[in-house]
Amino acid sequence: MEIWFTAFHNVFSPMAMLFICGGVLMGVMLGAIPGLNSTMGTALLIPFTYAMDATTGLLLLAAVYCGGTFGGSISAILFNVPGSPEASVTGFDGYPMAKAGKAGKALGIAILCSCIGGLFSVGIMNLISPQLAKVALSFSEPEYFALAFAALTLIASLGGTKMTKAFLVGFVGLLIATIGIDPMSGVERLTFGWSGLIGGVNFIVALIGAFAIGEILMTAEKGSKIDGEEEVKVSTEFPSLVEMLKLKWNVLRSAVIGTLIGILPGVGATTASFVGYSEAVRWSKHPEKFGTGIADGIAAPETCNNAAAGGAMVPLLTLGIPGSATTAVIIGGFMVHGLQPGPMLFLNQPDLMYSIFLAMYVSNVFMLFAGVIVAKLFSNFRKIRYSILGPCIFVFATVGAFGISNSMSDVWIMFAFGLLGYVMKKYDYSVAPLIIALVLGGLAEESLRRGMRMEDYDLIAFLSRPISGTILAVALATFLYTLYSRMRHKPNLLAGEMKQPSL
Amino acid sequence: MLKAFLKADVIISVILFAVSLYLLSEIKIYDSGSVYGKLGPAYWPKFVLYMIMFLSVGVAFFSIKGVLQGTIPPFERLQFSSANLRFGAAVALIAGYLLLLPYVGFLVLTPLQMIAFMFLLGERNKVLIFSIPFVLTLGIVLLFTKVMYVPLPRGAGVFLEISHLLY
Repeated sequence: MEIWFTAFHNVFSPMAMLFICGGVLMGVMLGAIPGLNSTMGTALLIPFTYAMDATTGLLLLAAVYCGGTFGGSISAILFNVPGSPEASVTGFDGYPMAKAGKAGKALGIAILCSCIGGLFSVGIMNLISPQLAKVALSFSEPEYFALAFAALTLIASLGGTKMTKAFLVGFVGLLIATIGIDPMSGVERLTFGWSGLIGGVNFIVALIGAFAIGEILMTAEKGSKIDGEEEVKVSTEFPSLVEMLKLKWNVLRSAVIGTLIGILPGVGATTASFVGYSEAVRWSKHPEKFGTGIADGIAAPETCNNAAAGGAMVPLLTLGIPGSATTAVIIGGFMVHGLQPGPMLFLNQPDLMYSIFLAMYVSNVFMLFAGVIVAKLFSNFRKIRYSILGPCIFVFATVGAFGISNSMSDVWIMFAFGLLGYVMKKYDYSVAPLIIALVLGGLAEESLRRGMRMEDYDLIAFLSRPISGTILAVALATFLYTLYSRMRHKPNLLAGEMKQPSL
Repeated sequence: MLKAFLKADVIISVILFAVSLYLLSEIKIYDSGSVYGKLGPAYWPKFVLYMIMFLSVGVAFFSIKGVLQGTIPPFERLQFSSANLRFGAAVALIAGYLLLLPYVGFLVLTPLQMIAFMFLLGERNKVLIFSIPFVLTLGIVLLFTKVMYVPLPRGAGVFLEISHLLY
């Protein structure tokens, strides 16, 4: 209890509160601007923490991390350009909802669910960090493959009435994910001698291209002055209690998934949001509505990615292993103050650890306010005519793609994906399966190959391991059920292009 | 019958099938004996390519079937319209911007590109057209180069010197 009092004193001092609130606000702002993110923000802030005491400095970094994880969803919802990779899935339903004039509601759901997800994971981290870290370490290649496979089966539901086309797009995404150096053999695959492809296709570049540039090209084709939403209610509108109660199981499930995936080293909030979304689709009574702008489609990824952010702190604090890119940077924050995160830190500096826990609670609560402030600022941009907004989005998309690795190759790849996104939109191919496959392709391939080698090339061994076997069985069963129900009730829907626009 | 074969889905499927076939021949090069074990670097891409070919056939089949059964609207002849022209202009504008960016630099080229793009998208308010691009470009340059240390393209020659005035 004495430790908690010390932590309380550390966190609720005026200076610490100023840094925490400022950090969250800064994180949300950084997350909302494409090309900037919380990883970059925390990295840039580390030198500033030199001048602070270790506790204040680390509280600031944790606050930026919490805010940045949510911030990306603001631009994903309003402009279909995710500010950070973690928010990629949020745009699937957030943007259609905003287009339908419910931007404020979409933002409200995103902010509240992010807060709930964040608080849940910090609570779990606070209570059972060491035990969770042990579970995370028991995950091996077959389990990682099972996770990727389960998320990929989501494509069956995402395709809506066009399952064959959705899977075709999904496999094209898996193919694109193989471009670059094979991490297991070092062989260059499908680069055709272009050095820009050696590092592979960054999925955030592909995402910006397919969604933002694709949309700009579609709008350019339509022509004429396209008015902004003069009458749109731009203020954030939090969901009512009744609406939240409808989302309760989705939010709870996503919070658990996010926390667990966040704990796994190297997987991170982006994968968590995809898996969370896929599970929301899987367990929904109306999977066909996902992608059209429904609350469940925003609640799942937002709860998941913020829960994963908290989860990623578990291996960092308990084992000294970073669970994500940003937590890897935060390790640097510990080190500049001469601290080594890990089990010994719990023994030697328990007040610091509990201060971080408490700061993350405060950060997640303050995110409600910071989210509203930044969302209000960004919402106003929707009032602007597309003839002005479109070129601005293009410039931000270009800088965002360039900023990932300071390379023009990424900008060209973005353009190529823009053309692809245009063609896909025009001929009614869903872009979501392409992005999901691109994100999870690397994980699926590597974990399958490593796992097979580990299990002496026996695929059955994947099923006989308790965790991977259970995940694979559930994924396979639900996939087959989706397939069966489509074929049984509406056989034509497997191909179904009833309203397909003609060439 | 010909209309069915010219459906967009069929054309896309044929292209994907042909590209997959070509890539299969490329991928096979990576399977150099047993150096990499049973699952070498070509294993996964090969599986994916076979699946793409299989699904391409499926999409084409369903599309042709749909047209023949009348459940899918048939092919309509491509007609040149101002929409095609605007789309072509937008693509040319983006491609031109990306081509010139390393030589002209972000600071000089971006406002010009934005002005052209705004005009193409139908904006006619001259005050906005000639103010927003410059303000936004300046804001982005300052934010990304001074705060975030992202080295935006500076261009070459005289453009490099102009860029050096700011970053």
